[in-house]
Amino acid sequence: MEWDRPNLALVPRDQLPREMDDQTRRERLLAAMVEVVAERGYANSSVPRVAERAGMSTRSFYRVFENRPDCFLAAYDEIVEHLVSLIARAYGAAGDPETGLSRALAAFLGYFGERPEIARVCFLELPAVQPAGEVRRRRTIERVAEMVAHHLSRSSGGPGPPQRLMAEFAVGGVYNIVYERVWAGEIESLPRLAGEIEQALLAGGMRAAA
Amino acid sequence: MAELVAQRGYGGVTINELARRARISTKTFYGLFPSKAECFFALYDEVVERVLATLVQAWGGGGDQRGRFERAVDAFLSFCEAEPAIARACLIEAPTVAPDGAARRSETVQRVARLAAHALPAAYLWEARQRSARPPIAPLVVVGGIIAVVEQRLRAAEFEKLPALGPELTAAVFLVAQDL
Repeated sequence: MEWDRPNLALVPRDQLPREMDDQTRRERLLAAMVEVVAERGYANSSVPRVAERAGMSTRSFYRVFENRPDCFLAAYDEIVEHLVSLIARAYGAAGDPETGLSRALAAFLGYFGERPEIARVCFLELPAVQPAGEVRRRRTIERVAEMVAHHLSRSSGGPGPPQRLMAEFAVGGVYNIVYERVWAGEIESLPRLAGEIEQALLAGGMRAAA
Repeated sequence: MAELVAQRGYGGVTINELARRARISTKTFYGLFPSKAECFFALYDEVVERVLATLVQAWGGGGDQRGRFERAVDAFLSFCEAEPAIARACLIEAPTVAPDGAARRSETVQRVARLAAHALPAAYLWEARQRSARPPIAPLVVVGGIIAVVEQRLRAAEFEKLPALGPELTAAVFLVAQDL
């Protein structure tokens, strides 16, 4: 699934081969789910609507996914995997930890800036599916916090707050600012905030560690 | 509502029980509040005012910036330790309560961030001063970070760990070497 395509416009149905394979069906449904939910909200994104956007029948939807939450959460899970590998690659490609942090943050914000519909899905719509949505949100945050804690352990640590706490603090802070921007409908401004966010993180305990 | 939330969390509150405790009929309840959520949010608003007043007061005493900040954080932590179920309900449950729990959360966080902007060392606001049109980002990052750490302890019911967070969160916010 190409979650890094610049737009999620689905290939028109009539340009696809007559019989789609399972992989294609699944991908089209996931992409359609994200598009429809970003436009209409989860509550207004019925299975028939999503199937129609994907150029498929409702019956075909149910051959791939059990129900609406199943499809939505599968899309979320794939988005998270893509994001995690994106920021890991950006971090790993840098020469030193501090540059790595900078690049990872830029990649993260840049992705949402280019794909505002995905930001809406991840931050605003995920809570519509409970309790699975909250479980996933917490799990994703913990996963990113692990990555940040790992970054802090790599850098030569000076005295400062425990690394795990610092990682939770940093992730919580970035989550908060991203959420506020998405909430305010100002997603496209996110990439421009990278410098200021970095400054805020490094003004405190992140610098003592980095 | 406060009593029931303290015992069972917001999710465990029923209007019947609520009315019974208040010694009113459910009809009277509905005359006062259109829903359980509205009653809860009235409580939420009161708690927020109370806690913010405590923070401002704690910060207002004498001393250097770092000490004052730590006092404010301690005041917040003391509230969470003294009333953990209410703190959980307001921080963790409230954002998920329809119709506008998320909006309230957002408003409250913005408010706290505006207060916090005055309490942060100059280093945080350096970039913001370069482009003064927008409100600074740093206070939102700081407030978000503090709340995230506290929420995690509340979620895990690790209330005894709360007091120790005061110095640690202050250190996270202030460069160890740069007391102002």
